[in-house]
Amino acid sequence: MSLIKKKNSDMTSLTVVIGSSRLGASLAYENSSKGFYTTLVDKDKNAFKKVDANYTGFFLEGDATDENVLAKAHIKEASQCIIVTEDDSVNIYVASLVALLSKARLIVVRLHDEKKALLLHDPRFRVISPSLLAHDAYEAILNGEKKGNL
Amino acid sequence: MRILICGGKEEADFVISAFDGKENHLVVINEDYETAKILSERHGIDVLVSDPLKIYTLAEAGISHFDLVISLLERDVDNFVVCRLSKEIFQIQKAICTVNNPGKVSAFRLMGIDSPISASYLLADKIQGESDVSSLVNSLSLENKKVVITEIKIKNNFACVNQSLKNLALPIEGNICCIFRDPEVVIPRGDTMIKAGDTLIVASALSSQKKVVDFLRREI
Repeated sequence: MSLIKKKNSDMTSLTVVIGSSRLGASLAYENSSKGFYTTLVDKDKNAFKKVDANYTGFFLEGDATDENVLAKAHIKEASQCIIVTEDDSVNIYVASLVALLSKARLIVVRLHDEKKALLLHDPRFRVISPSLLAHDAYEAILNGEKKGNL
Repeated sequence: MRILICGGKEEADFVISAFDGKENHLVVINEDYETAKILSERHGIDVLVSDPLKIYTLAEAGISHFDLVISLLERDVDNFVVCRLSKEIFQIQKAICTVNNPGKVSAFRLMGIDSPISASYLLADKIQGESDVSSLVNSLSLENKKVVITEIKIKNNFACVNQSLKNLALPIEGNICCIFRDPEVVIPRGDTMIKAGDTLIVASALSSQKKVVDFLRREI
């Protein structure tokens, strides 16, 4: 318990999650349950209902394309930022803004259109594409089927 | 000039009217079928009915051969993405877009968008410019406000009247590019004299604008 308290008071382990989508809500809970100081941002407070009741991080209602909202989320001090709204344009804009404003070592961005990853040059960016992940999962299933047949 | 116009309704109509028929080649992309139909019929041009946020739409419009992209979509973030796609994937030299939220203009510039245009921002900038310099001069900012062109009307009582440019000792930060001397336009040289009633067109850095204007408007 004391370890968790110590980690929670350490701003160098701050994770900011932008977008309380099902993925965002899940990742925010995951981070907070590991003891990381976590802030979940969404412009619709109803979206926070998706988060597990045991989540111990903070909620911030606001539009993350607004620099003032990112400042309130302490984006400058964040060690990682996870940008997973349902909207690719919002994710690209916010990711570019976070790269400009923050010293975060890791900026994870979800893009439905993976080709737009070409716009995210900063080496701190990591792009998650649901269609590529699904493609890889399909390949894995197919390979498993082949091995089973053998 | 080859110009691609993405999105917009009244704004697109206005921009098309401004550029059409002046040796420009225009291509318009608009996702809304009704708007696309109106623009096509009114201006007699082809309109591609598709989403300009898709890379394949921009490729289909032949964007890589264009000189300028103007993005007039409703959302600021969409305009940002169209401009970035144009510049970084299709190597378009110049991308211009509208920005509804004036608070985003600085961020757009910092993130590589040449010319974000916000009506509120321009209004504030204009008021600021007029109070900074003088309500008697007009000015125009270029290249993200690095260069400013100022129009100065010369009155009888100004110290520069009847001075040649070479004797004027104009601050080094400014240069007189052109003189309107009705009905003539004079391209100045060292021996050109400034006369009362002239309108001087002066180029300078924004930071030096006040110094240059104050020098030229000194009274005897």
